[in-house]
Amino acid sequence: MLLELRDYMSDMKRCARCSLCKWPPLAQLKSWRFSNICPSITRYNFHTYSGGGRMALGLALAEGRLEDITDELLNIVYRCTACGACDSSCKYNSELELLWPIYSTRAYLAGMGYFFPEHSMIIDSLRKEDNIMMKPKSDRGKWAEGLKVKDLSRGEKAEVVYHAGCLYCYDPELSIVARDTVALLKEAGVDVGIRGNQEACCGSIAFQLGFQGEFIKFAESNIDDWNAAGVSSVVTSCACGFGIMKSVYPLLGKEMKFEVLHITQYLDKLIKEGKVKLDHSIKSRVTYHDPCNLGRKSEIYIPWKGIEKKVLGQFILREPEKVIHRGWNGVYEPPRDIIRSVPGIELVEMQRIKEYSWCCGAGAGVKQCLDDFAMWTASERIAEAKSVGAEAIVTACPWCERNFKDAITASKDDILVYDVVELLRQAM
Amino acid sequence: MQIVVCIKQVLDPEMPYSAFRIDPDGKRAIPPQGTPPVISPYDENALEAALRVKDVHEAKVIALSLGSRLARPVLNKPLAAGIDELVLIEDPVAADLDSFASASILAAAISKLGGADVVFTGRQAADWDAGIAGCAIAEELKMPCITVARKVSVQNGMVQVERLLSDGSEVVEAPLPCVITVDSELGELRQIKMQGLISAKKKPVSAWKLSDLKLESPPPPRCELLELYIPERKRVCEIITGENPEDAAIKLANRLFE
Amino acid sequence: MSKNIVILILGEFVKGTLSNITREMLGGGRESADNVNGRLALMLLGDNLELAAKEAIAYGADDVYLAENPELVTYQADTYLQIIEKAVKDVEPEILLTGQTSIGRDLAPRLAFRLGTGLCMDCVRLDIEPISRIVRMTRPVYGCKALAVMICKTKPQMASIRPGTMKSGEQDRSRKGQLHALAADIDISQIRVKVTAKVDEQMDSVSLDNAKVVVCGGRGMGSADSFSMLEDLARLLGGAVGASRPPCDAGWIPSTRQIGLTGKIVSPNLYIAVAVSGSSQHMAGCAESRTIVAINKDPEANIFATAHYGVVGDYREILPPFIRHTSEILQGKGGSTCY
Repeated sequence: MLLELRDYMSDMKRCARCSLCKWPPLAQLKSWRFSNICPSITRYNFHTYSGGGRMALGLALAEGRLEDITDELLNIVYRCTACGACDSSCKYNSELELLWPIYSTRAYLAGMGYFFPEHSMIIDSLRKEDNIMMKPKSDRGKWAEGLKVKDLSRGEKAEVVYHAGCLYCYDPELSIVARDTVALLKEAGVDVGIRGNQEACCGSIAFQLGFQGEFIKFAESNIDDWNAAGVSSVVTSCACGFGIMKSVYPLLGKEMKFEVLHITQYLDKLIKEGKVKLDHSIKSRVTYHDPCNLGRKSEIYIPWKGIEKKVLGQFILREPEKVIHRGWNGVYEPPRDIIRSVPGIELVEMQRIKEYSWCCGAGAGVKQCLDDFAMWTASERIAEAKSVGAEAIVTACPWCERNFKDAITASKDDILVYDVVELLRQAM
Repeated sequence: MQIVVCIKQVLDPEMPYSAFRIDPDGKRAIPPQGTPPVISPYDENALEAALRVKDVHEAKVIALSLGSRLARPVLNKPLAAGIDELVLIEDPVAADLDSFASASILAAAISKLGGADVVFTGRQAADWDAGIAGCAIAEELKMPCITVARKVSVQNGMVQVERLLSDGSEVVEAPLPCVITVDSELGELRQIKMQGLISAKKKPVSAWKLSDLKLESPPPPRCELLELYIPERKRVCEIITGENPEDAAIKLANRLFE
Repeated sequence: MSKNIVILILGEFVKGTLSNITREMLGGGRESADNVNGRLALMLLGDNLELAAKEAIAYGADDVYLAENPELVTYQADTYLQIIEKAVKDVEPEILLTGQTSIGRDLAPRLAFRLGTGLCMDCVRLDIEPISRIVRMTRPVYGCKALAVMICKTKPQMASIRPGTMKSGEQDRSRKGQLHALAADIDISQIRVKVTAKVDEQMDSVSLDNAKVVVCGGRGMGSADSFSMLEDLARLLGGAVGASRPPCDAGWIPSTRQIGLTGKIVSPNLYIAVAVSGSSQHMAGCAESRTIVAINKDPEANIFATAHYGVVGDYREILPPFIRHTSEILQGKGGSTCY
C-alpha cells in the first residue's frame, strides 16, 4: 500500500513549528498583501490548519493520542486542498515531507471509516460509474460527438491517447476546450485517439481524499488499458490527472509502457517544431496561474526508506541518501512558452508563481464539499491577478478554470479566464 | 408497521488484493489504511428491500447494527437512503462473537425496540460468509425465516417472497411477523442524493451498550477458531505470448486443441 | 446402546437418485468413518425412497434412515426440522453433515440452533482426529481470500460441505447396510411458510452444472452485447456461458449464470475466463476445473494465479482470432475436442 501513516513518524516528530509552511520563503515575498501561501491557515487562522499543524495532528493519530474522531477533527483534516505549498516552503529550511503525511492522515481516517458523507457519494459514483462527477458512465463519450477521432475502445489503434478527464467529459461548458484540444492535435498531424465511453477516472481525487484502495484499482486498470492499447504516449489536459500519473502511478510497481505528458508539454513541442501556426495576434495582458498538480505536485515522488543517523547530536544523515522533493521539477516553462508564442500577448507574472504558486482552491475534494472555501481561495488568486494588471488569467487545468469562473460569476468580476488551449485556438 | 434491518459493518470486500492482510496471532484481518469499512453488500440489498416496502406501506424502518467499533460516516448511509432511525450497539466484546451469539443480541435489541413485523438482513456477511445469523435471529424470536429473497411484497398481514433455488425460483407466503434474508438479485440500494444527506442529519441515532439490553455476558462461540491464514498460491500458469494479439490467440488455440 | 454412528449425512436427491453432493459426502464420509472405526449413516426425507436408499448403501452408507411422507417431497424448513431434530436426538451422531446447497443453507443454521450446537458453513476440508473424533473444519472466509480452521465443542459437530471438495467412491452394489424407518408424522399446524408457485428458469440446451466446457465473462467485457462473442465460442465447443458477479449485477446476463461463491460452483474440463479478474469469490466457483484458461489485460490479475494457461491482452483482439483458429482446428478433427 502506498499510504502508511507510521512511515512518516520521524518527519512528523521533527516539525519544529517554524511556521515557514504558512508563507513562501522570505526571498520570494514581494508584498504583504500576497504573503501567504497556505489557503487553509490564512482563512481559518489556527495552527492546526497549517502544514506543521497537520503534522502534529498526524503524529497524534499515529501515536494513538486521538481516540475520539469528532466532526471538528474531520473538518480540520478536510479543509485543505492538498496543494503542496507547505511542502515546498518547508524544504527551504527543513526537508520534511509534508504532503504525504497529509495524504496518509486522510488514508488513516478513511481506513477507520471516517470521512464526509459527500466523500462517500463521490466514491460510490467512482465505483459504479467510473467517474467522480456522479454522472452515468454511458454519457462519458458524449463530449466527442461529431469529432471524427479514433476511438481506441472500438479497437482502432493510435500512437497517442488523449485522456480527457472526468471534468472535461461531463461539464458542457468546459468540454469545448477538450474538443478544441483534439481538433488542434489532429490538425497538427498527431495520430491521436480517445477512449470514449471506456475512459475511466485517473483516481486522483480518490487518492487525495485518502481512499487509496479505490485509487489503486483505477490506477492499475488504467495502466493495463494503456499498455494493452499499445500507445506510446498518454496526453492529458487535466493537470490533476497528470500530477497523479507522473508522481504516484510509478509507485505501483507496474510497468508503464508509455510516456505521460501534459497537453502543454506536447503543444509546446509542436509549436517549436512549427506544426502549429499562430496567425492572429491577441492584444492582451495576461497572467499565468501555475496549477499545483502540474507544477510542484507533478514531480516524481520517491518514497524514502532507510536508516537515519544523528551526527554531532544535530545533523541527520540518511543511508541511502534521501531525494528531496522541492517542487522545482514541475512543468512551468512549457505553458509560459506557449503563451509567449502567441503574437501580441503580454505575459506578466504574479507574485506567487511556480513552486510557490497559490492554489486555486479546487483540489482534494474541496470544490465538491466546501465550496465557500474554494471560492474564497479563488478570489484571493483573482485579486492577485488584478494587482499585476492582468486582463485575463490563463491556466492549464480544468479544475482551476472551473473554480475561477465560478468565483468570477459570484463576484460579478470582469477579469477573464482562459485555458492555454483556448488562447491558442483564438490565435490560430 | 415496524421494520428492522440488521446490518453489519465489515472490511471492504472489494479492497485491492495487496491491502488484505491477516494478523496470525490475533486471528483477524487487519483493517487497511485508505480503504474504509463498508456495510456488508447483502445487508445493503436488505435495506433496499425494506425501503421498497416503505415506498408502498406506512412503515417505520429501523437500521440496527452490532459491532466493536462502528464508524458513524459509514453507518450514516441507511439514514441518507431513507431509513427512519439508526440503533447502534457498540461494545468491544462484539469483536469475538459468533453468529449465534450475535443473533441473540440482535434479537434482544429487536425485542427492546418493541418487536418488528418484518426483520430484513443480508443472506450472509461479507467477512465470515457464514449465512447463519438471519435464521438464528428468526429462531430466537420464534418467527419463520425465508432465505435468499429476490422480491418481497407485503399484503394484509402476509408476506409474499420470491426466493432463489439452484435451478430457478419459488414463490412462498408466510404470515407476519417473519425474518427475510435478502440476495443481491433483489436490487442495489438506491442512490444517495444530497437531499438524503441533509435529512439524515436530523434523524435519531441511538447508541446502546450490551448492558442496556439486560443480557448477561453473551454466550461463548460454539466453534473455536484455531487458525486464520491466507493460503499460498503456487503459480502454475503458462502465459502464452506472441508477436501480436492475433499470434498469441493462434498459439493458445494450438496449445489447447491440437 | 450407542449406535456408533460417527457421521450422519443429510442427503438430497434429484429425480429419484442421489445428488452429486450427497454421493461426494458419502465418499468422504466413508473414508473418515473407516479411519475412526465408526458407522456412516445417511438420512433421506421424501417419498418412495427405497431406490435412493439402496443407492446410498452402494455408495458407502452403513445405515440409511428414511422418513417417507408425501408432505416431504418438496423441501420446507418447518416440516424437515420437525423430523430431523427428533431423528438426530435418537441417532446421536458425532458429526452431522449437510451439503452447501439451497436446502443445506436454509436448514443447517436452524438445525444447529435447535440442537444447541455449533456449525461451520461451506467447509472445503474436514480432518477427523481418530481418538477424540473432533473435526478440524476448514472453511473460506473474507470472500475466500483466507481460510479459517475451526472446531466445534458440542455434539453433534455440524458442517456444511461445499460441492466438489469431497470425492464420491465407486458404486458397490454388493455392499450391505441397514434401512431404518423414521417416524414421519408431521404436525401441519407448525407449517408457517407455504410454497405457492415454482418457476424453473429456462436454460439453454447445455446447463452450467453439466457442461464440460464453460466460457465465462467478467466485468472487463464492458457490455451485454459483448457476451455474444462468448456464446459463439461456447456453441463451437459445445459448452455453456457463465459470468462472474459484476455482469450479473449490471444486468448484462441473467443471475442464473453467475459462477461463484453465491452462484454456481462448476468443475468443467475446460474453463475459459474472459476479462475476469479472478476475485476469490469467483474462483470459489471454478477453481476445481480441470483446465483453466484466462484472457485478461492485466498481467497481475488474480486469475493468472490459478489458471493453467493465459494470454495477456485485450479480449477484443484475442478472442476473434482464437475462435477462428479453434474452428479451423475442430473442422480438421471432425468437430469434437478432447474436453
